[in-house]
Amino acid sequence: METAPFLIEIENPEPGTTRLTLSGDFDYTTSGDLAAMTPTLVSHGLMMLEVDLTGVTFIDSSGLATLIHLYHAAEEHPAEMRFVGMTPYIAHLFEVTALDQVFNLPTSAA
Amino acid sequence: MDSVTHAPSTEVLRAIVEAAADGVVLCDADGSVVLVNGAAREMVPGDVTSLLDRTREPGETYETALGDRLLRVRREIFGIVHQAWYLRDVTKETARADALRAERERTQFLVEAGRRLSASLNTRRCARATAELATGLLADAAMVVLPPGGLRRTAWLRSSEAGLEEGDIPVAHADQVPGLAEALAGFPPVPSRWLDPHQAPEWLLPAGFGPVGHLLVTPLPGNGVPAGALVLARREGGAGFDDETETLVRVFAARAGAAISAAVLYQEQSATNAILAGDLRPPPLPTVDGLELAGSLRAAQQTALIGGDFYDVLPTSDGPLVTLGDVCGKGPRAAVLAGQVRHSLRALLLLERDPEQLMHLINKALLSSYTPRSHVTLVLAAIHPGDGMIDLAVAGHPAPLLLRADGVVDEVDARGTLLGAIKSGAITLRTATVELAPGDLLLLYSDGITEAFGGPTGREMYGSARLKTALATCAGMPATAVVERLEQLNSDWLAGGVFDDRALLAIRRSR
Repeated sequence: METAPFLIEIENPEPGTTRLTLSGDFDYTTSGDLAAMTPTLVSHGLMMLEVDLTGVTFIDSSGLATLIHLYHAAEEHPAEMRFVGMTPYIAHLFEVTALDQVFNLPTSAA
Repeated sequence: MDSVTHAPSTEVLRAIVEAAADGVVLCDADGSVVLVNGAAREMVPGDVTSLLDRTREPGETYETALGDRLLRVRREIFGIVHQAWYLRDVTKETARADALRAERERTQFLVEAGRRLSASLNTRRCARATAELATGLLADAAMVVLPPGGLRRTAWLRSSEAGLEEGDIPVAHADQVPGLAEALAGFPPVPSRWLDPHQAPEWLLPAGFGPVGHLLVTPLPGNGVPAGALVLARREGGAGFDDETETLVRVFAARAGAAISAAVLYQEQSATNAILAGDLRPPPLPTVDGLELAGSLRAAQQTALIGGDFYDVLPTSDGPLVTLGDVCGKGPRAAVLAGQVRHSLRALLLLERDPEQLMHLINKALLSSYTPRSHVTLVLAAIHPGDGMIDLAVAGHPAPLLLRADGVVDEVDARGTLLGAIKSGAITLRTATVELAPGDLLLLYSDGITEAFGGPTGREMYGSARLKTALATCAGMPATAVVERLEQLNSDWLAGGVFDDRALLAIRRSR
């Protein structure tokens, strides 16, 4: 299987808002990058963390765990974290794990 | 002035030959010596003719020993009828060449040692390579004494003309070999000449080895700890261990020690992994009256990465509780977590059999775990074998599939939150109760099945739709056959590609 490289893009569209665009395979081998970045992402002044998963081709349990960890970090900060884009595959995954009950998801995706 | 234009006189020729740095012996057509120059007389004080090999062709060069020196001799035609023999003392030159050859041999030896020692991560094979490499160039017999594994005995391997032998000795016997106890403790080696070879005990050498003339005992240094010792023995009458050899042995011992200690560490780690992976290994399924049970668990191909899928069928007095789950992550941490969940379930089952209540309890237990990211997905199915009713709870896991006897496939309408993930402790669960009529089958599976990448492009997921279609073709088949078929179809889809853990567990009501 050709694995799609995992990429993280970080933008600050406006003060207090950070937009995280993830793409590629977000799994056991790649999730460490985002996990390591979490304390930096959720730092002083953050109010809104937007996560775009449109380009993510695969998430395994480690990837999911990293998102949960990020969610908890934002909640404690406190800042809001919301998902601004995802594929039907990821929407289904969130449904199976019932994370759709926890996460702030876009209404159009599912 | 005239003499310059004429051929040189015999006296002049004689003077030239006499002054030559090389030894020259001149013979006439009959082979009688007519001239021996000063250099030749100096080289060969006695009878020079004994060195002249008349069977050699003109132009040929040969070497001949004279006492402790080596002479190189060349036969030539000189003038028309005379034969000349040129002599050169090459003792020093040859000694330098020998030294160079010995140096090359040592380098070659170390290259070969590096190649053989790096080829294995097995302690015994590394020790064997060490002993075999050392026999020949370094010694007549070489014994590797491994670091004591237990408290009482320690293993050894020995290589000699008698072949490879192995055994063990009481650790205390190391004291019998001069320098061995010190080497095993990691002390630097002492020069061979300080060790009395006659003190070597009988067990140190192969049967019929004969008297030992020289002994060299060197520690095998590992990663900060001694990885054993190398004992080298040479027979009486043979050459001793010179400084060059002792240096070579130390360099060789450093390489061998590094290889052996790496192998020891690797084996300890893989033993630990094997113990941990044991917690993930599927258990033998019990026989339950009225039910057929079949399971399959394929671990991910990355062997170093223990995966997190597991299943169990736990019998209770009211009927079996079936579990199938997937813990977050890979490696030893995943194995430990899976073990914790399986053992927690066993214990909780003594008090509680309701799947929904069990989910809440496991979730709380995971949230109080010290291990970060103790996330688990789980399906629990409490089966009443008498009437075929099954109480199901699903947490963060794909919902089980129902295959009716007529080939209709339904997804069980149950879902719930991933366990151990949400800090507030609140999980939502929608449980279900399904009835398994005779001939019906319930299939529990892990996401490794549906998320298997493969197909024509190699990048397509198998998906739940394909799984349902495949399952529909299995109506009427025994549970074992269903699991085998689904596993086969899934493997075909993967077509040898990389896969995650894949678990399947089928419960069929036989009557």
